[in-house]
Amino acid sequence: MTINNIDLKELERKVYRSTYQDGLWDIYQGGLICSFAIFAGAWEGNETLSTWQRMAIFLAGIGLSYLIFWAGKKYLILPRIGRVKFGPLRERRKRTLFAVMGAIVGFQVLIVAFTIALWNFPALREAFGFPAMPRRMEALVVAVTGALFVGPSLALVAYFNDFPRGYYIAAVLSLAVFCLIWFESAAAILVAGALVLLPGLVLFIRFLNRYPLPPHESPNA
Amino acid sequence: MPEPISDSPDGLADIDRLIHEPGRLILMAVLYVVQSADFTFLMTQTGLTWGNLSTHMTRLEEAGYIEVEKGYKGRRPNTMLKLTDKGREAFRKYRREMKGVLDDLPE
Repeated sequence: MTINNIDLKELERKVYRSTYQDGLWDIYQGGLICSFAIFAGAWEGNETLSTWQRMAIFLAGIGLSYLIFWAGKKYLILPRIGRVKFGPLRERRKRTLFAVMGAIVGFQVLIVAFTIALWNFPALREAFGFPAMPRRMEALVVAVTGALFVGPSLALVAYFNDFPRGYYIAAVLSLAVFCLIWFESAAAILVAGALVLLPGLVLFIRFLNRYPLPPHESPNA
Repeated sequence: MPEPISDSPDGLADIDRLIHEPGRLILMAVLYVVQSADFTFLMTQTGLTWGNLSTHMTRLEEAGYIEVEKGYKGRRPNTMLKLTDKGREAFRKYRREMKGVLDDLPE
């Protein structure tokens, strides 16, 4: 390495991104999405499980996904790749992300509340001048809105976290939300979960092969 | 007879040779862009072996460029390294000087 081609900004980014090359975050996100698919399956009118049972499975899925993420990091990843603390710049980006996401989520909640009000109060719809629409057209508008809520939000999270695979997850989930609403099927969410989880698993296995445990002489072994 | 480099006004003679060694250079560069890191992390980022890293670390610590914090994570020993203010300034100075030297070289 020569001093001329040390781009410190690029080096910092490379070092930062190396901390999630293990695929565990993708596995975690995929697990969350698949868990949600079980809950969303209630929309299909399947009476095998009650809503509370689906909620219990959903919450158990979230718990299990997080447990896998936490245990994987602690017992498999950190002993192989070590620990690092990043500087104030990264902390500032996190705080900016929280502020931006807070504003976006707040805006989205307002839109959803407004939409629900329009559905339930036709007089309100007339007052605002929204035309009555056929049910399928309404479903299309909701599906597109849902996709537009999810995609850009997740893309922003990916940007602030400097996580390129996050853009892929944003696109996949955005499409899945559209299909969930338009086709009224949770299968799209399950497929999206698999499309996120499986590459994460591949990355995880590759990571374990690439980074063996350090020798016992190492002070951190 | 060509002018020896050590007498050259370009400043190469003043370059910090402690940082100039490739292994220590990459070690300093990685430590410069993070707040602190442990041994294992630095090994994976720099590609240095444990023995190499230990040797470089000792030299840099003796020069006052890095601080070593030995602790435990649970029952496992954990050694965190970070650049001192002196080390950060030395790295910045080294970078400035090298850029100056290389920029002054003819095409």
